[in-house]
Order: sequence, then structure tokens, then C-alpha cells
Amino acid sequence: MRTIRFRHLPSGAHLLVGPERVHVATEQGFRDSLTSSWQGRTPEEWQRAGAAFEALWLWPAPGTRGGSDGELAFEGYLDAREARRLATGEWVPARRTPLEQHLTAFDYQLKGELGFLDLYRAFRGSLFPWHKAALKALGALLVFGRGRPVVIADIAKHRAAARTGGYDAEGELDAQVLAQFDALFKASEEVEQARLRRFIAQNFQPGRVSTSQWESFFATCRALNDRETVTRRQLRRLFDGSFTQLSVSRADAAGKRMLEALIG
Amino acid sequence: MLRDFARGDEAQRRQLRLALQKLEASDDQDAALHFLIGAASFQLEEYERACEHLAAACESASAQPSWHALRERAEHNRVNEVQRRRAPLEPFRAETLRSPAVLALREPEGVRLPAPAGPRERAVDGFRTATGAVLGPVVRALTSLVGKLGAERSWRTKEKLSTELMGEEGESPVDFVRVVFADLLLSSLRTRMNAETLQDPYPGDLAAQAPVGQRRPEWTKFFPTADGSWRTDDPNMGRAGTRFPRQGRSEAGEVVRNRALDSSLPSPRRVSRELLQPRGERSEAPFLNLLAVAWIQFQVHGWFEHRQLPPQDGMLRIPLEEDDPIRLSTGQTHLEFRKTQPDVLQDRGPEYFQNEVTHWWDASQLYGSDQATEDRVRTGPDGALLPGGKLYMTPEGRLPIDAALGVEDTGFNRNWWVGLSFFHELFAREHNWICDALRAEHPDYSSDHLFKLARLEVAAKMARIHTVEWTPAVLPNRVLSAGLHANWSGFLSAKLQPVEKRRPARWWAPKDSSLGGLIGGYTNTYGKPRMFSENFSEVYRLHAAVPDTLRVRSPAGETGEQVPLERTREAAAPRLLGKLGLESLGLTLGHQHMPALVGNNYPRFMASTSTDELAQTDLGAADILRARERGVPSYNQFRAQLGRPRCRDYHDITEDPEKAARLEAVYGKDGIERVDLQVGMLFEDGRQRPFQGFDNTRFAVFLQEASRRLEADPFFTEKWNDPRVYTPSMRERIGDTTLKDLLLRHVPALATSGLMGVDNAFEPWGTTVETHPEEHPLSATEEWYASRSAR
Repeated sequence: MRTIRFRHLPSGAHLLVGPERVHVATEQGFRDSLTSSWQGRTPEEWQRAGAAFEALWLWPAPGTRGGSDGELAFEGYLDAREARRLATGEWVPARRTPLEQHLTAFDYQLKGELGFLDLYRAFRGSLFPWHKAALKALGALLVFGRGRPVVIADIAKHRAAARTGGYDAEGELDAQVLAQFDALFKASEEVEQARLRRFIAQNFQPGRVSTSQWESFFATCRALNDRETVTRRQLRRLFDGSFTQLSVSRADAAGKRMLEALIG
Repeated sequence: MLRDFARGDEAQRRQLRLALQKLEASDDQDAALHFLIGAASFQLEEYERACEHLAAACESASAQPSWHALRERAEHNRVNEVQRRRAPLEPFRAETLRSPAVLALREPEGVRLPAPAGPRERAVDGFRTATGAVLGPVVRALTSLVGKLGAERSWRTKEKLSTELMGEEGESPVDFVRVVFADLLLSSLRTRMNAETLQDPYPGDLAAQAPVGQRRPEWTKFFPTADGSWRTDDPNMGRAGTRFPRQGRSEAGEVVRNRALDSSLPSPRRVSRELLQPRGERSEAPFLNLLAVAWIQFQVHGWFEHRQLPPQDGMLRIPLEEDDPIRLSTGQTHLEFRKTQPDVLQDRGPEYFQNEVTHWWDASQLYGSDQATEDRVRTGPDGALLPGGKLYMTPEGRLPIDAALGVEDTGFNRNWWVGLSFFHELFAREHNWICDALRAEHPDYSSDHLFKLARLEVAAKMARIHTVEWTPAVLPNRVLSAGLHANWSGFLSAKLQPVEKRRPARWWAPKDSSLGGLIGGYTNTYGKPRMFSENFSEVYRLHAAVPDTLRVRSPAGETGEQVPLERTREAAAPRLLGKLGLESLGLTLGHQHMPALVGNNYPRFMASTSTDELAQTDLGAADILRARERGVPSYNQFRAQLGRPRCRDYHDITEDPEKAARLEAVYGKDGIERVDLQVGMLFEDGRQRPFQGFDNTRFAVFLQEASRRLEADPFFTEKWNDPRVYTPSMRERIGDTTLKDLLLRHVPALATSGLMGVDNAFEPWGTTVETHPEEHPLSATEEWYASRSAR
């Protein structure tokens, strides 16, 4: 069983449930493991809830509900870098920003960083042909990692100044921007990509990197929809971090999804 | 009150009941009053009371012919108990589809998987893959070359060629090359249709918007699930409760429009009376028996079913003309039809509807399309699952009776008649026979394991019988027969081997869908979720093939008893099977010819019949109305969507001027675009109907789906050679079992019947190819059938 980050919805607390320990976050984050009951449940009971969740999900989207009454919301897995910090008694942040979560969707091996191969596989998972996936992986490595693996926890440091459209300076979702995007889908569940491009150009003046990321999104939507459109659900998925899960969960013509191969 | 009776209006029903009570209390009951009480009781589906009063009315000298007709129907309904209802079906829930699919399943217990494929099997697979990789592209290039003619030209060429292939007098002067060319042509049409007409009902998302990232339960890779989920890695693809996709070259939104109440179209009832109801003797397909129509309904119940809304949710009302017999007899001014339940996800503009059963060829008509039903049919009277994976059958060897409906308790048991009782009982016996065979081979396997294997074997036997027996019987043509055998065992096998030696995925057969066959080949969904389309469900409306009466036979010959079909329906069906037994019923269905699938050939009883909650309905009108309601395109638009040329006028549909005039009388002088799909298909003749049995439009959809439902299913393709899925003995039995074998196994008394004179059990049993070649065209043109007979 992997160690799972949950948000306990009734209390708003963050929870880390692993096969050996359970942690509840304090203001500084996760460090000390739970030794007695919390919210009326023993650590073993929380572990059982974690195991039940693990039995259902291979690579769930952020926000996926777990627990006996859906009281737990999935927030990702503990990665290897975080696990090392926890083992040495350091604090691990209670939550990841949406931007970090967006990247962890590519971290299929839970390493906490994305090397060339990880990025290449991630772009292949987003339905890019191999040569484009390789180029994009190389570009991402240069821009976000300065040629070295991209450390997910450090992503905010390497972001370009230009607005990407959905995240604010801290990598949090910008509610106002999201509402603007949502308004585009008033008339239909699906809009032309050209219209969305015009909207982005008029409202956000995205830089080169952001434009390239949007184009990646559009290309994946094109592959998924078989036409130059984006659906409301796809745009929402982009921001809630489940879009990459969608493309790797779709069965190809042979009835196979890429997820199994990516997780191994 | 009867005149405007609305079925969904509970207040009206109460009023009618009160009025009836008053009338019944009256001391002065004359014939007219008896008729009134009888007719009202009939509307309320109280057929016992209706019979009593209608009988009294009919004894009077003033009785009108329509009174006798209504009395007869009341008597039928009293026997078939059509008014019986099951508890309301569990509604489809969006939350269920949007939850992990595994939550609706029960993991089979005690499964002990054998070892995966060994080095020998892997070497064979490697050889097949390599030869397929070399030879497959050659075949595809040839197919593409033929397809370059262009889709519309290809259709025309096919029509011309096929007519020639059949020969003037049913003879077959074909040579090897021409058959190969014709099959390549069909293959190219299929390829084009797969490229151009498939649509995704959940564009850009997982099927039924399932949550992403679910963990696939390991056991679903080896066994079919109860509800069709996890057949592929897209958890809800083909699952019960998922949508029927649209099919065609245009985006769905361009063609989908509910036309149920479109006043510019002729009334469905008028279409039914003028163009579906017979005008004299009904015509028969000389080369098919009634097993053929029973079989297709048996299969359809495992493929698709739309669910309808209860009357309380509003009804579709079709006005009756002044001279309508129903209006004349009951005064009723409208016919009512239940509405189709729309999709629960409701996120798409055009109407979409859900399949109540699984979209896969998984024998869900026997086992159900949900876990509770799958478990129920395996449960004995003591409430426990039966050992050995068996289905419950009574000590007399019959299926148990569903207490609510009065028909056999099985996976799907609505819209019932005795033909379904026959096949359900036959296949339930086969299931239990397979369980015994498997248990003898694998005494250590658990009951769940044996059940899952038996379900796989039963489904594969159905698929085989349908592919290489039923379909060639309905379309008796050498080209198609070769093509269908190629689908199953590959073109090389179909051309080079006698029928008894043909098996899928032979070691020497290249792994290629054409050369080596679909079975045991690569899975291919062509990038679109594999579900039966709305269009497919429309072309399988084959009510014209249903007879009006059964001519009962015993081993000694015809008994002289004729049973109206109304008395073989619903609760009357198991009683009739009990009375006749499988042998006599088999003889009855095997000897009697199937009515032909042509215009003005619907059974007479269907124009005025009853179904549950509808005392008065017209199934022909319902066929027309359903296509309009569900946004299935009109006949001409349907053709265009499939890439076929449009008809310019009625003479393009039929070469018979009298039939063209009939179409014009209903649809108007320039009404070609208004012609309903069902009508257009049934009226196709001449060059539009190059094959006997099916019209060409129906054939187009069939051409695509006959392959797709096999090719897109991993259990028929990549899992075929996995010993953890199909054991070698299962594969052997599947490859060797014909419907005739199955009949003889479970009804051994048929070994002295006319069945022994035919090669294909769907051909009439009363004659042989030697005495009546026109009744056995396939045997007459297929040397391999002859070789089988000789064996």
C-alpha cells in the first residue's frame, strides 16, 4: 500500500495514511505519527480506510472521495523525497498547491521529481506522438529544471513570471479566472479551441511557456475529442488536476489504457 | 370516458372503475351494456371480467363483428396474462455509473488460475504475429485498393456483383477469384464504415463519465463481469446502463431530433395499417424456419433493450382515424405509447438513451446484466448458490417460473413468447452440461470459477452459431458465407478447410483480422467505445418475421392444432412448452417457415394487441414511432449516413410500381425524405436487395457490427488463447458445436426427426437439399456443407 494524503472533510485536517503509520498535520505540516484515536478512530482503523481506498484506485484524481462516508478527499501520494524527509524527522507540507498537484499527476513512480524519461512518458500519456513527446520533455526539463530533473516541491521557484491563466503567483487556483472560463461554456458543453485561444490571448497575455502548455492541452483534447474542441469537463479537469488521469485512463483501440504501463 | 382514456391518469382509472361498479350493479344489463363493461374492463387490463361481459354481449343477436374481435383478444389475454407486472425496475442512477465499477460486482470466490501460456503457446503466437505482420498489410493494401472505388461506387458495385454472384436461378457460377474479390469489396466497405460512421457517445471522456484512475480488479482480466464492466480497460465501456451511440458520417447533433410528434409525417398508425399490415396471404422466406426468428429475438435480448418510462411520466398519444378498427370497436380516439427513458447523465444536447443490458456478447439474456440477477439464476430453493457453477433448474429439468411475470426466471424475461422459452431452456441445459464437463476436468475449481467459465463458453457458442450458422442461413450467399467464416476462423481457413476442421487461431493462421480471423486476433475498437448503436437497434426490428399462428407438430407429424401467437406469449409460453415438451416444440419451430422480412407482412395480431400496461397497442406503429422518438434518421438520411447513395424517388427503393404507389399514397408525391427507416428497409427489392433474407440497408449495419462486436471484445480476440480464460477443451467444444449438435444433445429424440435432413438447423426441417434445393440454398451452393452431411 502506498502512503496516501487525504483531507478529512468534516474537520478540514490533512491526513497521511500509510501501511505503517498515520499522521495528522499540524500547522507546520506532517511529522509526528498518530499513536492514539483521532476523530473517534484508531490509527489501525484509518489504515484500513486507506487500504480500502487503495483497493479501488490505481491513480485517482485529486478530490476523489474515500472513507466509509466519503469523508476523505484524496490529495495525492507521499513521494520518495517527502518520505525521506519524514524519516529524518523533518516537516513535510500538509498540502500541495494545485500547481504541484498538477505535476504530481506525472510522477507515476512517486519520486518527487521528474526526469527526462518521466516527462517523456507523461507526454506520451497525454497522447503525443513519440517525437513530440521527446521534444516537449526536453523543453520542460530545460525550462523548469534548468536541465536537471524537475523537483515538484520547487516548481513555484522556477515558474515564469507570465500568467498561465489558472494559477495565481503562489500556484493556487484563481477562482475569478475559473469563473471567467466557466462562462465560456454557458451555451454549450463544448467550445471550439479557436474561441478558447482568443479568450486566453485577450485576457491573460500568456508568455511562451504558458502558450506552449495550453497548446499541449489543446492537442490532448483534440486527440480525445477527435475534433478541435474542449469540453467543460476537460477544462475543469485541467484545473482540478485530473486531466492527465483522463488521458491515461482512456482505453486505446486495443482496449488498453496507458496507466498500467506508466505505474508498472 | 373510454374515448379519451389516458393510461397514466390515475384519477381517470379510478373514475372508470367507479363507473364500472355502477354499471355492473344495474339490473338492466343488455348486450350493449355488457359490451361497454367488457370494453372498459379490457382497458383496465381486467381481462377475466372483460371475457365474462364480452361473452355475454356476443351471445346477443345484435353483436357486432368488432365485439367478437375484442372478445377474442380478451380471451387471449386471459390466457397469456399479459397484464402481469414485475416490481418497478431499479432506475438507472448516474451515481452508480460515476462510482468505481467494482462496487457493483462480487468477486468470484475460490478461483485458482492455471498457468499462463507456456513456451510452446508463446512460440505459436510469435509465429502468427510475424506472419500476420508480413501478410496483413498486403491484404489491407488490396482492400484499400478496392475501396478506392469510393464508398458510394463500392455499394453500387457490390449490389451489381452480388446479384451476379447469386446467378439467375439460384445457381452459383462463382470461381475462387471472384469470391475473393467480392469479399475484399465487403471488407473495404466495412473498413470505410468503421473509419467514417462510428461515434463516441461520451466524447472526450471515459464511458459513462466513469471516475478516472480506477484500479482494475485482477479477476476481471480473466472472467466476464455480471454487468459488462471492465471488459476493456475503460471500466464502463459496454456496461449495462450506458448509452447507445449514434452512427453515421455527420455529428450526432446534425441528425438527432425527436420526431415522435412531428405532424408533417404520416401517423405511425397509418403507416402500420397501410404499409406494414398484410394485404392478403403473408409471404414466407422459403429457406428459413421459425427457429431463425426465435433465435434473433433470443440474441437481441442479450444485446440491447431500451427502458420505457411508466405511464405516470407522460405518454405519447397518436390520434386514430375515423375508420380505424380500434376506434370503431372501442370508441377510443388515441393510441398511447410509453416514452423511452432518456439517459440519466443528461449532459448532451441531442437525445441519448441507455441500454438496459450489457452491450457485449456475453449471454446476458441468460445470466442478467447485474450482479443480483447473475446470483439469482444460480440460487436454489434453499437460498444458496448451487454447487458446480450451475443454473437452477427444477427437478423436472425446467427453468423456474418468475412469480411476478409467470414466465421463465432468467436473465432477461420480458417481451416473451414460446420461442424464447425454447432457447432459454436449451441453453440453460447447455450451461449445466458444460459445468459437468468442466468439473470432470477440473474437480478442484470452485463453483464461481466453473460458473464464469461456463458463461464464457455459452456466450462463445452463441457467437459462433450466430456468425457461421444463423447469418449465412438468413443471407444464403456464397460470398457472405465465406466472409462470415473468415470472421470466425480466418479467410485462409474458410477457403482451404472443410467446415468440420475450421477452428479459430490455428497455429498456421496469420494473426490478421482477415487472413486469420477475428477470433484470437487483435482487439480493435477503432478508437470509439464499443457499444451497440441506436441505428443497430433499429435495424433489428424484425417483427415482420413473426408468424400469426403456430402449426403444432408431434413426432408423428402435424397435429392439426393451430395456436394463435397471442396464446404463446408471456405466461402462456412456459405452459405451452410444458404441454408440448422441447421435442414437439422444436419440431413445430423447425418445420414451419419464417415469414419474410418484406413490406406489408407484419403479423395481423400486432396491429391490435396488448402489452403490459397497454391494453390496446399496435406494435408496427410502435416500431415507426420509436425510431422517430429516438432520433434515428429517416430512411434516406440513414442511407446517406452510412455512405450509401440516397434514393431519388420511390422507384429507387422498389422496382414494383404497385409498391411504389403504396409508398407515395402514404408519404406524398415528394415524400421520399419522409419515408420511415423501417418502411424503406422492408420495401427494398430488386437491386436494393441483392441477398435473400435481408434488405441492403439492414445489411450495411450488419456488415459492420457482425465484425465489430467480435473484434472489439478482448474475450473474443486477445484472450482467446489464454489458458487462464479459455481452457483447451473449452476452445475445442466451442469450435465443434453447431445448433444441431446442441439440439441433439439436449433433445435426443430429435435424432429421428427432419432435423437430420438439414445441415443448418435454421433451414426448414421438412425438406432436404435433394428434394427442395430452393429451401436449402446454402447447402446447394456450399460444398463444405455437403462434406459435413457426408460425414
